[in-house]
Amino acid sequence: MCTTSHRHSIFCILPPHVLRSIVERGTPEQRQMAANTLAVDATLRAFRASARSFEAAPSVDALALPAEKRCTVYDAEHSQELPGRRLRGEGDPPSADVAVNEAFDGLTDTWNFFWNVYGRNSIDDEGMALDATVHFGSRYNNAFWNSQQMVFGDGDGRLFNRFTIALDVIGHELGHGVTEDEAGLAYLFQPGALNESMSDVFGSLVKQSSRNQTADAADWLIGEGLLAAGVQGVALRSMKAPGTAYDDPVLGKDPQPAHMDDFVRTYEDNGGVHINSGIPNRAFYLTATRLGGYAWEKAGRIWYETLRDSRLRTNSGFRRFAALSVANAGRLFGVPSVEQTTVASAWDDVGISVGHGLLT
Amino acid sequence: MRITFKSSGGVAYFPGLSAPKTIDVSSLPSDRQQEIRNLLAESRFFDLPARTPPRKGAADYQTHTITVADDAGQHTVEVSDPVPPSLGRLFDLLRELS
Repeated sequence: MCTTSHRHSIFCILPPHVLRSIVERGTPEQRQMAANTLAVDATLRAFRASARSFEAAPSVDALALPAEKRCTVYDAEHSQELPGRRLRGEGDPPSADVAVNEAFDGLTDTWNFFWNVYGRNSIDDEGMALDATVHFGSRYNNAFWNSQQMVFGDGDGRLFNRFTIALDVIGHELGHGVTEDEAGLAYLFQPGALNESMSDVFGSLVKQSSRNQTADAADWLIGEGLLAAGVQGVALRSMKAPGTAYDDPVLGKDPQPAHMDDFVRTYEDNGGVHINSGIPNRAFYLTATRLGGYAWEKAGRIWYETLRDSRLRTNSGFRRFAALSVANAGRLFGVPSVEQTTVASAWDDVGISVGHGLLT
Repeated sequence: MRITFKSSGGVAYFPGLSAPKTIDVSSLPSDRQQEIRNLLAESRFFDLPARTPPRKGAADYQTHTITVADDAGQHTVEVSDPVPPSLGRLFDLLRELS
């Protein structure tokens, strides 16, 4: 039987040849069970092998076993060793440590968002465990994704509060895992800015969904509440108005552009990945608010499907992503459609013109 | 001995936090000078590779660059989070002193 201990039980399915053997030689009940399992198994295999564009998320009934969330929070106890001491997992009661609970709830909300909205079973769509470490380092002013888990600092209290305080930051970090799994956008220059923007999109959507906010009610700020009291700023970034999130004597002024005319050419920040992400961020904000309703239903779906489009490469830039988003909007909602036109004009408004029908 | 260090990257790029800082070690109190030398030895600083790239798929990590220059020469090390413990302690100390 199954011997793997670290993956979800969905992987521990009996291999087809064993099931077929049962169909041939088992009792009537065993044969029925095996036949059902083979049918679902065939569907699962076809589903995975097929082109990755689906009109709707698969229903839970279509899968052999329900997706299972596996969130765990660890404590690095101010060291930089990962993952640290395990403090809270599924089924455990809340901790006395607020950072632990915030991390756990954030992982949970993000997992729930991807599953409920896009039918995606965790970051890799295969039930990957979601791990987070809190209290990383000493007054560490940052949070990051180390390619396998989330890591949170406590902040120094002077510039930053604890990094678990912002749900969108948690969604942002886990979003990097989704982007790496689907498109592998290189973390450099324009593809890196797209990578960053995708994470801001996911982070925003997780936050909006948790608050049941429509696009027009959302604040479109990333990391609100993260800047300590006394800092001249409201958030790390604004998707609505890139470049306006902060202007502080110590932090400097928010350097994000909102339009290609102001694209920043730099070798800092991996080629400005956190800077130029303002441009695709604004394109998403415009799309979502012009379409109205919940941002994850149409705008988010178009962006998610574009991320999963096999034509999006690791070195794709803004123009290619924009063209694919217009193509995917057409595929999902029709050619022509209000949705497709809105996406195209949003990109146009940030300085990227996409011809309709360039890609279908 | 002069040490120049900077940390870049992270969840956001803050222009005001990205400038490098320099410390003239010989102008520090002798106990601090010794602390620095101990940490340089403990981390085997001068044997560390110039650049340790981050893991593929990692994001929003900070990258720390430190250059130590003295009469014998100069060595620069660039590492991304998570940083080896003794190097981390060196960075914490440098930040505290600057």
